[in-house]
Amino acid sequence: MIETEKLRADADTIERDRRALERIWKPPSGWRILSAVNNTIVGYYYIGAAFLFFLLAGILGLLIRAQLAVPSNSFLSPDTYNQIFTMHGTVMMFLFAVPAVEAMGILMLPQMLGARDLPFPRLGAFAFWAYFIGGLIFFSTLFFDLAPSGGWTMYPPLTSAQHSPDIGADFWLLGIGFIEISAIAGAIEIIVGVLRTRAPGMSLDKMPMFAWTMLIFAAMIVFAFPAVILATIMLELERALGWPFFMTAKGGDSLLWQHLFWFFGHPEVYIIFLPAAGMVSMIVATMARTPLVAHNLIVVALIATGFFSFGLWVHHMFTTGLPALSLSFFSAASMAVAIPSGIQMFAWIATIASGRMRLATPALFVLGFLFIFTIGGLTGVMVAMVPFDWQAHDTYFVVAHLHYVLIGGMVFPLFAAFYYWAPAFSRRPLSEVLGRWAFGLMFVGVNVTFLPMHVLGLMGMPRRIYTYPEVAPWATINLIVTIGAFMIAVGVAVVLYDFLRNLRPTLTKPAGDVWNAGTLEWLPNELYGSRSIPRIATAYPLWDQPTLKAEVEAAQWYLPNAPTGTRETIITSPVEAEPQYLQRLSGPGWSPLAAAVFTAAFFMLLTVKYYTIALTCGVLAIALILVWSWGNDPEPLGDVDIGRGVVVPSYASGPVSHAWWAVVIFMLVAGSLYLAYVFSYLYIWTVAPQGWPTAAHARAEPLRPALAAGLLILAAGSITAASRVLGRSSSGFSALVLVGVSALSAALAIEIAGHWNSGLRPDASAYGALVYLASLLQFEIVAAVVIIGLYVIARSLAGRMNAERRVTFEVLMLLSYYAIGQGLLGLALVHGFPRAVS
Amino acid sequence: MTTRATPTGTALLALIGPMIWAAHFFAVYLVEAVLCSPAVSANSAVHVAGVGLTIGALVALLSVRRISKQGAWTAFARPLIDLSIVAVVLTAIPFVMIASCASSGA
Repeated sequence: MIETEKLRADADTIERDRRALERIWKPPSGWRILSAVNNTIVGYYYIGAAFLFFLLAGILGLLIRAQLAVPSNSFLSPDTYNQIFTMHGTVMMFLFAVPAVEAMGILMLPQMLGARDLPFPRLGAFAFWAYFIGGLIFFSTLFFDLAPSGGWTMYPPLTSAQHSPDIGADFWLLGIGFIEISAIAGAIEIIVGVLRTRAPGMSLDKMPMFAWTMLIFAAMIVFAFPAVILATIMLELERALGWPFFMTAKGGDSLLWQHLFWFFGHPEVYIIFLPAAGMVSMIVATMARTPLVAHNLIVVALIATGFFSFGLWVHHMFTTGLPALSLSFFSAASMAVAIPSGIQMFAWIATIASGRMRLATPALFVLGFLFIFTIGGLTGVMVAMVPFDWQAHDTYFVVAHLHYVLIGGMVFPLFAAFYYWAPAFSRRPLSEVLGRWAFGLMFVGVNVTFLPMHVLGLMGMPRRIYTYPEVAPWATINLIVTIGAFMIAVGVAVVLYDFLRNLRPTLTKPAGDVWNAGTLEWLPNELYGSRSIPRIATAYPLWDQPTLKAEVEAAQWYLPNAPTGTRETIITSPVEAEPQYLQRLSGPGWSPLAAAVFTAAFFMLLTVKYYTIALTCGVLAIALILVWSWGNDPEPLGDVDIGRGVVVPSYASGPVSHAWWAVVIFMLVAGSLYLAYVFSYLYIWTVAPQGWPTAAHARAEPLRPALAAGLLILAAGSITAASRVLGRSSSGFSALVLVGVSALSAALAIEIAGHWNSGLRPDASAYGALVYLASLLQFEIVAAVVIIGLYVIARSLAGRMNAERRVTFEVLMLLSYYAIGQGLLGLALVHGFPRAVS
Repeated sequence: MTTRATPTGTALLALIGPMIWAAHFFAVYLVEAVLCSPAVSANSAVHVAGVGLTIGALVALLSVRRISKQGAWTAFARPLIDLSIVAVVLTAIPFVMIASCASSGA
């Protein structure tokens, strides 16, 4: 009798906890759904937006092919054609490929890792809205004849103010720079999410392959994207203010753009491919009904690919006249990267061979991927050989190669993923019949389109020409290529029809595990994720722990309730995934959307030179970000029981804190940007040393940099002292923070004033521009430190900070130390290097 | 790789192979770019520096391979070191085949 009552009481508790979770995680209703920040809703938005841009860019591709279907065609004017091919490449690469992958990560990672949400929901929402609003504005330039027309690579001097005087190039530079920033925000979210919110027991070697690839993807974004952001800043400064980074006549060099662009651009290919490889790894294992062969070796191959891909950028510059030795290094690295790629391929083939493959639509797309991507990889090895590249460069051979790589390596896996994971997020799975038709049309279409393009390239047809003379057999082959392109479009239309007919995205009760898969995203999911968060013992817990699903549903595992009464997730250790503390998550709010709107407005108004309104929008965006941050860093609530007798703190600071990790990753981004600057500085010196100051000039005014360095050291001392008095004296703490940020600002002001007083001007020479660019980059980080410093003082005065509750201050402290380090490096470079070489 | 390392430190140590490859790759590129630049024009030093850097990288890679002990992260570290050795050797081959600072003639 007593046992029965206890069971009934337990059942009541479980039901009460479930209702509490539903109430806490309930999304906003009606149009307020736009203020949602939960990963599932933002993930749906993200995927929808990325697919929209895929369709739009695809339509542009069809227009290109319609123009090239017959010789001497006048369907599009030359200028319109230039805009269209530029936008096709740009939208596919920046608005579809990377965001689509990021979208899949934001949607699926929490469920796959056993988390309730990603650790920075508002940052994720901000990243999405910034991308979507910026992308829409950028795309709409086509309708006003304002789109860029210099190709997606935007090489100067073609894109300089002299040769592209309209504002299309400015839209590209500011728009893409802005969208890249949103991609970096998403990457920070993903890295911290993968490393810190995994289910207990899910050590790195048990982590799903998709999560591994998303981790490497995001890490690559951190190191690759800053190079192109710096390049866009430099070209925009040249166009708007005449700072001559790329002008040979003033000591600059246009090849610097290519170095920076491709330092981003080549890893970008792998940034797109690696998550697709993760999707394939997950799908192959399920479809072959067997664990992935050589799991650890695939992880090794993924990591190696990520590293080696940073040694390939000159692979795109073989015809620029660089020394043969330089070209050979990059040719060698291009060969080296084929080894880990081959390991992955053979592991997938071995998995398929060792299992019993179920030839459903996802498997068909995976097989299509293996075929198409292998051809793309082999032609990649061909163009990695310098003599061959000299022949094929800038011809349709390269266009064919890159489409085989990108469609095979990303689009096919993505469509496989749509068909595979739809039941996990939709009330109905997608249609098997329509999926097979779509696959058949797309597979045949891709090969009919791009295989003949290799031949066109070998025959010498250059890329980016808007028409061609009636030269046999160019005309016939081009017509075949166009027919193939429309066949791909029909295949995509079938998928779209399937989506409209069957895809019913849902926040509760999806169709579920129709494939009998082994990973956590197939647990029954609600908006808050699984009913309880299990402890994982293997890489395929649903296969190897048969009772797990029932135990999770019966709320027998961790966090079956909401002990703090708010949205929460378990923060675990980065390697072994042991519970460390309970993170309280942000709920819905308008500030991410509003901040994104004003950030987009800031960049776009800068483009059209409405500086005052742009500045106002920038200030509003920062204010809104501070508003949303005000609710973060909540008061510690002591220890909480997360179930099964595990008690963890409800607050953490220092290196254990997830916020600490995010700031460290941000510092890596800023550091990568600055290293790209150092590279640019040294590069310009190697090509035009005559523009550097004379020995006498370099040694003038030795006291000024010494004074600036002294102020930086004073700033470090003040911030360190502030850390010690935090919680003891609010006024002392505020004064020390104020001294710290003032010293940092003064060091920068002295540096800029010194350059100006010495007669150095940024528009006079590339050297001058580079010197002022160092100060500009320092200004960006110092401005952030000053704003956060004042914010920290406000929080301290409001009683929202003490010796224990100190995460916000730690953000300031880390950023200050970074700014001080960057400042000292800048002083050493700008003042020390000319002295050393003059 | 050492029993005293923290799990995070050990995981990072697993990446030592590609890190050495990266250091070698960027070092040889930098050395070649600087020594072949008009400002320096020290052609004869390029091969010496390149071979020296390569020997240094290979010694470092072989050393960390030898001292890495059996453990959970050796499964990642060893193959990564092996791949890095191959990549370093591939990168260094041009030093014995191509004249210093010769133009590509493209």
